[in-house]
Amino acid sequence: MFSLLIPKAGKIVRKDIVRYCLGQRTTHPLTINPWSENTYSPEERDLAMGKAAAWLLHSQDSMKDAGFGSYHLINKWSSSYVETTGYIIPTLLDYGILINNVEVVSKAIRSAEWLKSIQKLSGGWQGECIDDNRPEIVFNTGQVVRGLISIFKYNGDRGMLDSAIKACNWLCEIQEEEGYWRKHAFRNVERVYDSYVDLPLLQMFEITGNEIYRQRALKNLYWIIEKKQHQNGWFDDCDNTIKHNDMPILHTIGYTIDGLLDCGILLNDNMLIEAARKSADKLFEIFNSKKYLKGRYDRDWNGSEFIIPTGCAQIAIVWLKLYRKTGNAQYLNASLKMNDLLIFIQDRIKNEHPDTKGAIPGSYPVWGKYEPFSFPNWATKFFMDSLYLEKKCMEEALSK
Amino acid sequence: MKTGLTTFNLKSREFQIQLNSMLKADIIPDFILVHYGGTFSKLIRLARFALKTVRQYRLKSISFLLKKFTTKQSGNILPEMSDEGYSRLRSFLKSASIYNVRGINDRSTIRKISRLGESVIVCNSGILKSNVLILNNVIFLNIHSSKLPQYRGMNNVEWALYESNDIYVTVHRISRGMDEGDILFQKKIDISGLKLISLEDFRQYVFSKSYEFTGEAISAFLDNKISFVPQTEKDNPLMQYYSMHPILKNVLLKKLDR
Repeated sequence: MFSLLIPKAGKIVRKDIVRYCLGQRTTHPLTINPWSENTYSPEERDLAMGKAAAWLLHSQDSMKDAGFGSYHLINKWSSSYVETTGYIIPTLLDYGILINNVEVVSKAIRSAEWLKSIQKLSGGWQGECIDDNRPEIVFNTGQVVRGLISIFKYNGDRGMLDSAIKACNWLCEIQEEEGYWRKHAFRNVERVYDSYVDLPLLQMFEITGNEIYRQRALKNLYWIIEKKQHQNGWFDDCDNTIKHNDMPILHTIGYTIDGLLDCGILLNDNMLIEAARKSADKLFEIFNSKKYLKGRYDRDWNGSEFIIPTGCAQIAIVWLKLYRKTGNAQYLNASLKMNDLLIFIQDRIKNEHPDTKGAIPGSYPVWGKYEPFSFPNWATKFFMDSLYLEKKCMEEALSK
Repeated sequence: MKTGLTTFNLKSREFQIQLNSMLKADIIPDFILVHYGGTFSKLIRLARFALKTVRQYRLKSISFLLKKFTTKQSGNILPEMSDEGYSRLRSFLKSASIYNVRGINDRSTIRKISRLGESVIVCNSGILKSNVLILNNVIFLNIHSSKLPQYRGMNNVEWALYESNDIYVTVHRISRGMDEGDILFQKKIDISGLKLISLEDFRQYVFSKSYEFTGEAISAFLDNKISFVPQTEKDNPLMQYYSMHPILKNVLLKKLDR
């Protein structure tokens, strides 16, 4: 309620009250809501991607270092998130190359250099924001490695590779015998979304030829699909909390599926691809019948809580990858619809303040339980990734 | 076994084509269930008036009735029929039952249907609920303009085109799951040489062609030449097609242009 009194925040909250509450009650085409048949043209999609990129760059400019922070309607800017800065790097790099903008590319490189400079002696990277000064965390380290690999692949910077090797060696050292990570895991519990750490390990195996990276990644991946995945595609130990582990958020479900799928595609391992597909198909079914996805899902795929746009974008990315892998245009169709919903969420008010313009909120409506009244940089990152991959898939579809 | 049709509108194109197709196959429907709607009531009154006229003036009035079923788009519905066919049509019109019903799932409609005896009903009137589907004296049929089980759901004509597959008509039993009922009849629709103006025109063309097989399918079933075959892969979510995104429709049009 307090946020309503703050002019900048109040405008956004009021807008969400109107469009969310009205949207649920009517399917009238004049009411703009995610349940109507709103679609955006390719030009509007490009514009949405541009706005998202501009916000990420604004986020970087608002930091005292080269990382990316998140914006809260009341608490304002956070300090830089180490983990998310890591995986924002390939997003901005791809976008900079797409629009042929050297400045965007150099900003991505600057972020990687900053991350390299804050690497812990062990080889890992700290959790949460830089100002929190936390110990190193497995998941976060994996995401920073993603960023370093993309810069190494772009300009061959050996320093980036050395830093990534140090990190991967540390990840392999601390992995448990069973294949999961418990030491230096978030809250010191094993979690299946570490499949998102396995891809950078496998990428490093491809670059360096170090077989241990491949073995450790496979060990984790098979621990997930053999011990933690249910017949219906749902995962045990998938939430980033202890309290809500029985109904994980779509965001961590998205990490898990995406990690399995990417690794399966890279290794040409059908078991992993099918495991990812099983979960992705379930969400595909739910999305097509409801036209949106809920924030959390229990073991029977019963949804609860408001929309978490980050997770929605991640699932759209998974479907786009499945489209590329299988050629089934139904996945592309669902992703286009999901991105319509996300663009609608992004497209809030005219003359929006640069602190929020183009950004994707943690929840829709903005007062939802996940990152309430906040614009986490990872939401906008995955939204950009989804639009970027959709653009590539559309180009491929047109050329077929 | 009795035969019947359901429709929202006696003047609708699909109803006219289906009725024509049945008449061509010498099948005279025993009844027609017309959904009540403000504007339709006039049509029903018109049809009743026509029937009354038919009874009064016999054969000449058949064309009067059929003329009332004719629209500019569909052309004249009066089919080329054998003498025997005409005499059966005449007897149908004499005893024809056109029921004005509130809705196909309505309690009074269910009572009416359950009293009809063993029947085959071709449905064009929305989704049937389970309380209708459990009636064991009736086989409800749907004319689906695509191959089943591959293309269940929506925009299936466009999806088949998008995936460069042939266009089929499938006549199947209506069951609880969407387009999941046992298949009675399936045939490829020839679209070669068809000039595509728009996707909507193409859809309408395929629908019309599909409805033309109604009589052939029912006739073969009544003569025990074909029987129901269960569908496979009912649980595969990727065989359930959803509305095609406008961007993909544009891709499809560009593909077809090439």
